[in-house]
Amino acid sequence: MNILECTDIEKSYHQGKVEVQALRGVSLSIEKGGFVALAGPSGSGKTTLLNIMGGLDSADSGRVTVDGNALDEMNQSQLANLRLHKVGFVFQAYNLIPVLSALENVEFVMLLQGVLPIDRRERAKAILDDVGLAGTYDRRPAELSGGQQQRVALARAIVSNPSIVLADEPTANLDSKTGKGLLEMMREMNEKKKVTFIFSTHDHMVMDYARRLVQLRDGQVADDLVKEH
Amino acid sequence: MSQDTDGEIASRAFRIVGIFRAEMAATEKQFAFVTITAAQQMLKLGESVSEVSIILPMYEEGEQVASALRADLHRADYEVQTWQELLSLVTAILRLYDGFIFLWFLVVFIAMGFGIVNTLLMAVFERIREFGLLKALGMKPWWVIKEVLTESFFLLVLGMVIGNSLGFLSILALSGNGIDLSSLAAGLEFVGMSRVIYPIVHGKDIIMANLVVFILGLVVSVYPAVKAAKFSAVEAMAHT
Repeated sequence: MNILECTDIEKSYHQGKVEVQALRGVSLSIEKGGFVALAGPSGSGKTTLLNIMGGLDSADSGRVTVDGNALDEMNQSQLANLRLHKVGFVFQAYNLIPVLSALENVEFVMLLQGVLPIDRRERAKAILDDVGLAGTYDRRPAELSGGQQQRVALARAIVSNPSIVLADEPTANLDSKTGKGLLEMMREMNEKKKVTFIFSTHDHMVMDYARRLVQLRDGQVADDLVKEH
Repeated sequence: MSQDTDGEIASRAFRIVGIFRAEMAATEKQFAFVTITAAQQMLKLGESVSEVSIILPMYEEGEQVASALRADLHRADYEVQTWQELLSLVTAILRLYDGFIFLWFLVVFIAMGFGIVNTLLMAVFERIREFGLLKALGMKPWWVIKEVLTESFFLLVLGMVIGNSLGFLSILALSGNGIDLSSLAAGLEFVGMSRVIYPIVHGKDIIMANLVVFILGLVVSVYPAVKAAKFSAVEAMAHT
């Protein structure tokens, strides 16, 4: 069963006066529980495609459905609701809220969802323990290392049991050892909790972890490889 | 020297037994006080009086008191007039003055509105990345508007508390001895103002000013709030 489907996605944007064609008719289906890497050099359209998949950006043409919901038929409020309940994001620059502690950052999405304070605290602590951050609950992002911040971001992305986690170059700002640790954690979450992961990368070490590797080049799918594990 | 009840010139010499000091020299020049009996004799009034003036604590109460007096005295041959009716020129000048005050308030409140919009816009633009992140995490546009308006609400409440406190403290400090404007005495004399003015505050004015500031503040905050809600998450997070 497919959790996400992209059909003929086209997207262009302006860089100054120059029009850049970021995606040229991308069609892609992602199966539920997949662990998929979108690979390709800079400018190949990975981030644009991830943003469109998560409803953060809209395609010029084509159709994206997430868990059966056609994104082009949804208004901003419905898209926000979809992101809140069905999509988790992990960003390259971590993007934690600097004034909140690690625990509060993880709790934040559940706060928006209206989860009761006791429940959300319990769930946030459990997920932080799962990503190996027990004891750092009260630390603010500035007091955490890059790897720890990205693990908090991962905890925030999966704490509300989303259908998909979209990670934009999650290891790009981490050293190889920390990056490897994060990828193992992501794969563990994928296997244990059956969360679908789609992540972009141009790092071969990261590509090795993926069970499916989609190569993008010049805004088109150049190769789609399902690996045997 | 004056005109008596027969329409004749009435005059009498009086011995000055004392002088009075008024707030303004014009008042001192305008009035000479004699006993009521002496005035009645000079003007051939018998035991009558031609006019009774009533000084009220608040000038706005004139019409209300005049109406009550008219009701009580309607059978007798009395005429009750407020100072506004007697001094129509002064009344017109005061109305004009009220118009100027209204314009002044309008300018102040418009400036305040721009100040609030500017402050909140800066606060929104400084945190554009955070707003983008909140939207990416699933915050609906309406919630962003609510958040900015809530922030504005607390800023307004804080501003009102500080402003009212400073206002009350300055009134308290100045209400004892008043504000001495004697260095401007000549000019003040011309416009009929006292040399020392005393600040007073009415509950109605406090409520009105606070209400206007609060409502205007919230209304003008809608613009930055909508602006924050309209940022696309991708554009906002790419903002450096």
